[in-house]
Amino acid sequence: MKTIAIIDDSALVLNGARSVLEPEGFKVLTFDKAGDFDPATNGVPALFLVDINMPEFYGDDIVDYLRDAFAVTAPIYLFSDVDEVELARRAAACHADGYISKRRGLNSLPTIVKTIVGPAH
Amino acid sequence: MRDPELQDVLLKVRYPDAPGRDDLATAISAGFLFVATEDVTRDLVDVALTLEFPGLLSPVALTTRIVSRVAANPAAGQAAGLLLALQPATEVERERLALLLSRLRPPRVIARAQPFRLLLVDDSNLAHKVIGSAVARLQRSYPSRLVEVVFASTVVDAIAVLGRERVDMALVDGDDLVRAIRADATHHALPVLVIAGGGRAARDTAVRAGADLVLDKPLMLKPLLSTITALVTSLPTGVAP
Repeated sequence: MKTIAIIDDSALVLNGARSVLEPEGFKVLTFDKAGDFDPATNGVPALFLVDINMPEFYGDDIVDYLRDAFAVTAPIYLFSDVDEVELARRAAACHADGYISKRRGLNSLPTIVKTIVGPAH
Repeated sequence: MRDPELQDVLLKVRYPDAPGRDDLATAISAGFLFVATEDVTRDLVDVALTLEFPGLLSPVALTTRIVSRVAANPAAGQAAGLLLALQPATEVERERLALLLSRLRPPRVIARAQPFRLLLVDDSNLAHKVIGSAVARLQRSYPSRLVEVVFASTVVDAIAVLGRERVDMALVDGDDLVRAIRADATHHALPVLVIAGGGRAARDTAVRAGADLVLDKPLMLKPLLSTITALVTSLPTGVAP
């Protein structure tokens, strides 16, 4: 079973993402603070989704933190509702592997995730 | 659309015609400057301002002209602000601008006798992890240690650090330590950057407490560290900014 880690300060988004990904067979780890993620206890996810606008740091800096602190090699995607032009620019600037716009709706999330990591099992 | 030549920075902006008021410049190129400010309706065309960074860059006076007023658009990830054209009025100002831009270029490969020491005071574990990681990443690009971070979680810890170690600048979440530093006979002149989370009111409170530069949450970490590093490495060791 593949694990998707989502870092977002919105409980609504975290719960919504979980509600659409788990029925598709994914294990979903949710964090409202990036500092709560630890691969020693959480394992290494197949994909990270990182919100941009969070209270302490922008997601752009969290991408670097995940890579540097834990040598994460799994894809890291920005996950935000900022407009797609800006989202694409920021994903490229922070060397994220890509981005997923929340504006596409949570129902489209499983399909997008599968195109990135393949089937859940 | 963003000017591709704009470089992300973090500099303090002050206005000679409005003492006590300050904003943050967040991007600069040879021709333009973006100043993040809620006050985008000022009835001005030409804006005289100074750019500075506490402890590292003395005020540089420049003449600018408003090109556009940008309203805040959170959905587009855009802060409110003014896009200003840099319009040097004299040869002296032209040279001043050229020097400023040269100092903000990406850091050169240099060796410093001692790293620039930044004291981070924040009770957030995440702040320690993310800022520590960002500085470590920065270090990997250079042959010698340019910037070093010393961590403290409380005002008491921070005072203890200041008493026993050399610190060149403090980055502080909250106002209490600023007041303590300003009241301290030994460290009262230490440049202090304050991370404030409550908009203009919190910024004003931090300034009254003695902050040299107020940064909003979420912290714009990369521009902050790249500006500090560029200014540190463009400053010959032992020469005042």
